[in-house]
Amino acid sequence: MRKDKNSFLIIVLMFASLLALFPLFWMMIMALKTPEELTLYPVTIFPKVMQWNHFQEVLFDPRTLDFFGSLRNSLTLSITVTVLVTISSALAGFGFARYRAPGRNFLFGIVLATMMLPQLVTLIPQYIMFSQLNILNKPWPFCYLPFWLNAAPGWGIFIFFFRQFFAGLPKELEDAALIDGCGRFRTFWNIFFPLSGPAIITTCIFTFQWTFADYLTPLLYLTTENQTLAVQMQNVRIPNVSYTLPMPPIPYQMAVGVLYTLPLIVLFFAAQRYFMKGIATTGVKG
Amino acid sequence: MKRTWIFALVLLIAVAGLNLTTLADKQITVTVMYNNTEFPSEMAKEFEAANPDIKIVLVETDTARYMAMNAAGNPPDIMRCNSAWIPYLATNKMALDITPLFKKAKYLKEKDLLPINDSFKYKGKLYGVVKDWSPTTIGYYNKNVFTEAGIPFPSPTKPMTYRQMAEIARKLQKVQGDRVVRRGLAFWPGEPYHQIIAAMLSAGQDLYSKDGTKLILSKNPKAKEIVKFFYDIAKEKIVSSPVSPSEGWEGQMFQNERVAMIFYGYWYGAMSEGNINKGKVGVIASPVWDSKSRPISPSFNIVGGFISSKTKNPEAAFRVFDWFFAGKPAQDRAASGWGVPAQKSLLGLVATDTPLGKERQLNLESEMKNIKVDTPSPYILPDVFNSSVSKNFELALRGDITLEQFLTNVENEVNKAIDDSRMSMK
Amino acid sequence: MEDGNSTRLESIKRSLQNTDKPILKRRFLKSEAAAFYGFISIWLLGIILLLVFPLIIAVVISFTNFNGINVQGSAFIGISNYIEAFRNPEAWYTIRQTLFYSLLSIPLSLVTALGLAILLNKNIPGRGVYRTAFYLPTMIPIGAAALIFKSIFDSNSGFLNLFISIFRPGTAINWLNNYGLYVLVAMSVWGCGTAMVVFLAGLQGIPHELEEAAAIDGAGKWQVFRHITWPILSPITYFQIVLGIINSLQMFIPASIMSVSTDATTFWTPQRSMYMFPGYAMNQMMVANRVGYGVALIWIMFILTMLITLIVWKSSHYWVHYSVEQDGGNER
Repeated sequence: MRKDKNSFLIIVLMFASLLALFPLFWMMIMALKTPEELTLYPVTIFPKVMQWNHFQEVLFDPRTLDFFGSLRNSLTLSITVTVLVTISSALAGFGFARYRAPGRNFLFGIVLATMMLPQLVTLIPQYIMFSQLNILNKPWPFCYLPFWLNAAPGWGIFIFFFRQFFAGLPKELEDAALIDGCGRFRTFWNIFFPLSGPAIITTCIFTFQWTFADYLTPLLYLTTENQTLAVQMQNVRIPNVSYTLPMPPIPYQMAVGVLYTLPLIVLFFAAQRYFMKGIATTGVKG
Repeated sequence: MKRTWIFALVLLIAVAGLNLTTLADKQITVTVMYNNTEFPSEMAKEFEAANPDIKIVLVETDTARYMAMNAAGNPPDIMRCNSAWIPYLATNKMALDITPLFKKAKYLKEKDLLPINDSFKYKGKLYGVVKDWSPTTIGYYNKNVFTEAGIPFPSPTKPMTYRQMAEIARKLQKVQGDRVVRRGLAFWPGEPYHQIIAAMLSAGQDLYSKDGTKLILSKNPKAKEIVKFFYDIAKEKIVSSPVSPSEGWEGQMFQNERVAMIFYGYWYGAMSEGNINKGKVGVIASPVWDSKSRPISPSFNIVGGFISSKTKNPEAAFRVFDWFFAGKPAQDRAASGWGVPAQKSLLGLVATDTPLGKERQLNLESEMKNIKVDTPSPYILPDVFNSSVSKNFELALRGDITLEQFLTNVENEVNKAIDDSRMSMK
Repeated sequence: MEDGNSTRLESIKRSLQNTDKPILKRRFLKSEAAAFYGFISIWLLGIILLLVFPLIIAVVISFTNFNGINVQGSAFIGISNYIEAFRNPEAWYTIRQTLFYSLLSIPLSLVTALGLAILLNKNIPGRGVYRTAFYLPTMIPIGAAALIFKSIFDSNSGFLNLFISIFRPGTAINWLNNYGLYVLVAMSVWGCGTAMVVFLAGLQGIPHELEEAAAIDGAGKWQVFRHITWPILSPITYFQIVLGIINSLQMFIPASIMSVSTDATTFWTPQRSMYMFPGYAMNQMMVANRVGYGVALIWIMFILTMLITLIVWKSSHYWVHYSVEQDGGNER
């Protein structure tokens, strides 16, 4: 009886995961067809000839795009932003969780409001401000300064995250630190921060993934040579076409899409266990 | 405490490094906002190698970014634009009059410019030059499809009317159930705003009042007739439309014989044969509205560039501008066959060695006699009209509004934009 | 902790409280308030320096007829942008579409996520594989995902119609134009991996013994869920709903990419069936050159998000179970 039920569950899960994976499969299929074959009728499901050269060209032919350059830019940007966001979100989250002060609830309300603030509202005004401060278009890696400045205060959602996490840790920890003669910052840095491993991993993964995927902000702040992969992916060229075609070369784009997803998959696999634990300890207490 | 000091030190070094790197930068930077297909970084490097005192900073063409840069007071020095932008840019004093700079030009010569460059003129001042252009309504057809249906090949020099064209397309269309296997016609772009303007030009009609302050559609019987035509062929699914969308880019589908005739303009000739259609493609002359109207080959794809009026280094910017629009890149472009060059000296470089190349040349020579460029309102960018048409056309096709309402809606929306714009200019 | 330690702790605490006659400044520095503001100082400073000024500009822009290009020509036109937003039928249409989309996509994707999480919480071989499979869609770049969905739901040669054609040859259902909103909902359900992972983590936090004990006591499946699982999951659900509202009200890029048009000038004019409020705001800013009005629309969107979140928050008192006081750690 129990066994039957389990195999039924497995069938359901397999079906669902096939549905989830189908678009991925389709992305791979689209990457491997020639541009002509994409609009062929009758439709071919599998490419007649696998166009593996699309991957090769996208990776190594600078006339399509500078893949490794863009990847380097994306990684530099995402990693630095992730470090900044994690540390400062943890700091602010710790403050909100462990200390009472006049104005705390009001300020926490602002944290929540920043979560809801559409990016579109501040995008252009902030560009104007940074431009006036003359911090745009600096040489690499300082061209990412606007992103660092935006990351330095921490992001609302992760401040919220860390607040939940630190609120759940026992108060005795703090008292023990006091006995050891730790200052408040040391208490946080030596005791609480190392304990929050799962929350840190969670924040890191989400921040990394979102920064990696961000399209509008890099488009606005970066010049072509410092541009990230997510933006450059939209600008893939076909070798030997020196004209702006109305339609981007979809197979090439899909090939970049596949290559783009790979580092993220690696990241998720590597951090999966911590990730799950991290959410378990932060998300539960709403 | 120790940590704080280290932290402060790191910060200090970072700031110092930042300032040093900027100080060391003695080069003049020229910011270029152009599509990476047309101005790739290889090209920038090539120019920098020849001109070490100039550094080109490339930025992708994007409206949001342009707005942000503009609002911040440092727009790109050189910007890609369509000729239809020029009246607006000129009235808003955003583009630089480049006539005085021509004396210093190395490649550009005023006498060498083809008349098409006049589309970058406004009130006697020249605000830019054409990169390359393309009579928009030149078509291509697939010989296989025509032979199969037993229809004689269209002529590359003698124009058909729009209705004749639709008649042929109707015969060439192939459906399977609800599915369209082959479309009779495809226009550039998928939505009918350019076609409406082209047909109006061909019928000798103006879209805007003389001073450009009013769009006149609903009171113009010809406009109604033209819109009705495009509405009908969309309803019959002869062309793709929001009610019968094409699954991919029609330029690609033409190569698969899934589109019989494609009116994409001159540039499309360079890729119409693709890898699989060598020798099977012919050229169709630009259609005319009715047999009485004179053949007109409208051109909307007049792509060029302008120098911003706020540029800090007009001369450096012009050196890049000059090289890009008339130097080596221009020669390479002319030879590639993607667009018609805008300078007389470059016309000879267009390749004509294939049968299609010969036919294209024949066609181009006859089209060149009848080039007409539409004159947009100087108060709005063409996108306002385009987006209004495409939005309301979908509503009309879905049956939410009638064709009369379509005309009045577009008219009201565009005129409101013109009024707003004029108000803010005062 | 041992007894000795805790008594020592108490005495230290008392001594800290008793030494309360130092000078004012010292007292402040020792106070909780100082610690609080110390810890949040970077955030606070960042918000003041980086957000206040742009927000003021954004508010100012929304009161002008700025066209995005001509700064000098812009004029103040009071609140007429906001008034127009309320009068414009297009705005109402897109708001209706957005609300409809949110009402469909949030519950559907959350229920799917919860269902998958409950299945994956069982002891099934290869859980890690399924977990990854369901999480993978969230990693695909949104632009590529939109192109994939466009190709699957296409009317002439989309995979879905091909599949239906096996049973009814020649089918060409125009999914994108007639049921575009549902395609977007399908896309959001497909991307429910994040929510699924969060639910799963919550479920794994529930001690197994608790459920087994309840089962031995004769509680049915539903009762176990109702009285043990749900109280733990409800705060997660609440948080996910809030996130869902924020995300779904700001969705606009896929609609533009899936649009029929291949022309860049009409990129920001999505087709009717996928036309939503943020898309409308983008359209007004990027295409119609009405940045002032567009920014006003985004402000309205922000206020709408806040209002809806507030309603959900108010209602949460009735259905969300808190095991801990909501008000931070020190109260416990």
